[in-house]
Amino acid sequence: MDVNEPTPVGKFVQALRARLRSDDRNQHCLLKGEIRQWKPYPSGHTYFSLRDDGGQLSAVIWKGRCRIPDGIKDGQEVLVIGSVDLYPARGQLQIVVERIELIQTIGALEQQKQKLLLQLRQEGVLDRPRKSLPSFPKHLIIVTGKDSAALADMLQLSQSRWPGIRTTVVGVTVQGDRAAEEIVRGLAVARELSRDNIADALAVPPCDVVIVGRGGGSPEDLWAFNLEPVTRAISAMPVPVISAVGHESDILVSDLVADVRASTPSHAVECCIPLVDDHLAYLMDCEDRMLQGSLRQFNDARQALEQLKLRLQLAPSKGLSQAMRHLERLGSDLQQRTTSALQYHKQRLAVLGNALQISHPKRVLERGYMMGVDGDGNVISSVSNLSKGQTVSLQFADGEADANIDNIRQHEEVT
Amino acid sequence: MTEETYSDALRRLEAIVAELERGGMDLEATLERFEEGSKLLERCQAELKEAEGRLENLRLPEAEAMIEEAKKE
Repeated sequence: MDVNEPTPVGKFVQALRARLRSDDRNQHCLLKGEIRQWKPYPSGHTYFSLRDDGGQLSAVIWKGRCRIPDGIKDGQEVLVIGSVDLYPARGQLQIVVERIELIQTIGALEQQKQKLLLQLRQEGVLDRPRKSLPSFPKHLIIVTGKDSAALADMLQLSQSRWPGIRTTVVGVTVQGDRAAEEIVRGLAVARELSRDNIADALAVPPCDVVIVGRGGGSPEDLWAFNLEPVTRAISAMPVPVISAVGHESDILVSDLVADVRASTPSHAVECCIPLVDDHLAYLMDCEDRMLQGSLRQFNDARQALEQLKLRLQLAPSKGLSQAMRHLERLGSDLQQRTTSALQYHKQRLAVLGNALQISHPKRVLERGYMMGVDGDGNVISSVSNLSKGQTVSLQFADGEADANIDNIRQHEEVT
Repeated sequence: MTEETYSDALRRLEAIVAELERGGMDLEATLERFEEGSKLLERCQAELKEAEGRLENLRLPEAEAMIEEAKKE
């Protein structure tokens, strides 16, 4: 720019604006100040001044650009994140707000939370006996953010643990001004579904466990779970409720009133949905122990009988030898009855064992793994069983494919 | 609800297993327990394998409308 030529002011302002905006120090600044002349316009934009004793700055919130805290008004202290800009038409320096928060929000909310906790403690809500979770829930209700990642995680995990569980999701808003009300309404749906008559009318089993929660977030995002209506709805639920909010720091009131506190939504699923394969294995173990126990009883009885027989044989009395024959008959009778029962159950055990073994690899394959098999039909579990140029068969859940081995790389052993 | 739940059946089964393992029963009782246990076992296994999982993914207004409908019946 030629210093001797006058610069048109508009051009100067534009250049000044460009310089301001190109300086990173003017972008996304964190500022603190008091609100003055808070003025929302019908256009949806909001204008105000941010000031303190040292100075002031005009500020604008473009329509829909950031969430505006409830009840914000003149005189309140706020934290603002925004970028400096120059409004050329008026040559006015302003801060374009990207985020605004009331400073006393957390402080005031924290006080409310402590007050609520005190009240709940006095009422005995915090110390009331907790309901225990059913070992096999018939109908799980999940109250959480609609279409949220937390929900997707929970459903996937639940499916892999026990596909037999019936689940109803009630998708609600989990943060912002409407969150508490919607969570309470979602819990009301769960309460209704736990009633026999409602469940009957819908031809579903009554709800017997509830998960309420969401993924992690800032303390403000999670605040609905510290509010009285939500905590009351949890404590009043006739069936067990798991509080499942993903967070690390402060404990939420919902965690303290719920029957079970889970650290994350996925953890909640682990708490209430059984691993069905474990249970089937446990049942097989029960069956085995039952067989062994019975068998031992019969063997003991047989031994006792043999001893009795021996003693009777030594005794001269005729009456006694009659009694002995009777006992012998009784013994062989019992032996016959139990042997056939044991035989039947042993066979069933073998069948069950096979079924479990067969079903397992298949389930693994269905998850996208594949199994390599050599020409003799042996499963290849190590690269050391492979040779270059060898043809192996890859078994998928729905078929198989042949593959040639080009390269073999063995991992170094970890000691 | 008179229907015995899975956990009730399992608890009873576990008690029977413990009793049989402890021993000291007469043969008649042993056989009775064994038969009862076998029935419980079958019921538990059936409950696990035959349960039909269903997922209803509803938004709040849909869920509330469903409850309202059910109340009318």
